[in-house]
Amino acid sequence: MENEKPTWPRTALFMVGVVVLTGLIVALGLSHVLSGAAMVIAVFVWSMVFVAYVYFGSARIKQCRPGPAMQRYRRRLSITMIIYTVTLLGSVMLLKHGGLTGPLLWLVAVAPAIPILGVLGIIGLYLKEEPDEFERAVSVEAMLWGLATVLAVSTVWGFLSNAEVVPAPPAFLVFPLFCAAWGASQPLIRRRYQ
Amino acid sequence: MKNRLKVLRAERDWSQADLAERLEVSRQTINALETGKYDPSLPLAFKIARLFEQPIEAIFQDEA
Repeated sequence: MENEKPTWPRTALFMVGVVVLTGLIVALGLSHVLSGAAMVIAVFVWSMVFVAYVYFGSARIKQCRPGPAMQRYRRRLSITMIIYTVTLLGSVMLLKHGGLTGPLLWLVAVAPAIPILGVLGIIGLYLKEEPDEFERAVSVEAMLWGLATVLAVSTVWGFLSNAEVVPAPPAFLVFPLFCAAWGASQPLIRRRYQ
Repeated sequence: MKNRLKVLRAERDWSQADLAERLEVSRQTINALETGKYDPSLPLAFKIARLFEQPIEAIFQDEA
């Protein structure tokens, strides 16, 4: 669109964000606040996929001003992902510290999952609020691709780990994988309709 | 499904963005409709028919 604002300030901000976020995650990993490479990867994948999707992916794919439903979706998603990051870091640090028992241990352990359940609700709300049926159809089709990817990867991995060829699949990575496949399939689905 | 959306739009000198705004959909939706690769729902088809003041059959042609 001709009357759109230049995107470079946003690009610059995004790059700074990526560098700061990556630095933070690596620092936390190196100082052993986050336990194990899997946890660091989880936080990293989450942050990158969502920051990229929220601020870049969908805007570039649509190549026009996002509708009010999409704007609301992005705002809700951004807030929830910030809550998720804070909750995850808090939870990991408390668990690392040890000494938690009983219901409190359960609560701290499950805390990062709660914003993720919120994300599921936010996705549902977007589908309900999006007035453009084509946009809705593309989103739903992309979700099916996301679902298919998750099912395929977890089934193959599941059988491999059953035979103890590979370690057990990290279940908490299922949702980021779904989101990544969902996001990646959108431009391909849109291309079919051009 | 074939349709005359592009012709009707050109007759009125509207861009895809203009039509998108009038129908409250995205420009990509208009593009997908015009190429005949996406068939609109009945409510959207009626909305299009009302906008162009023509019956649905005059805008969309069934290829069957």
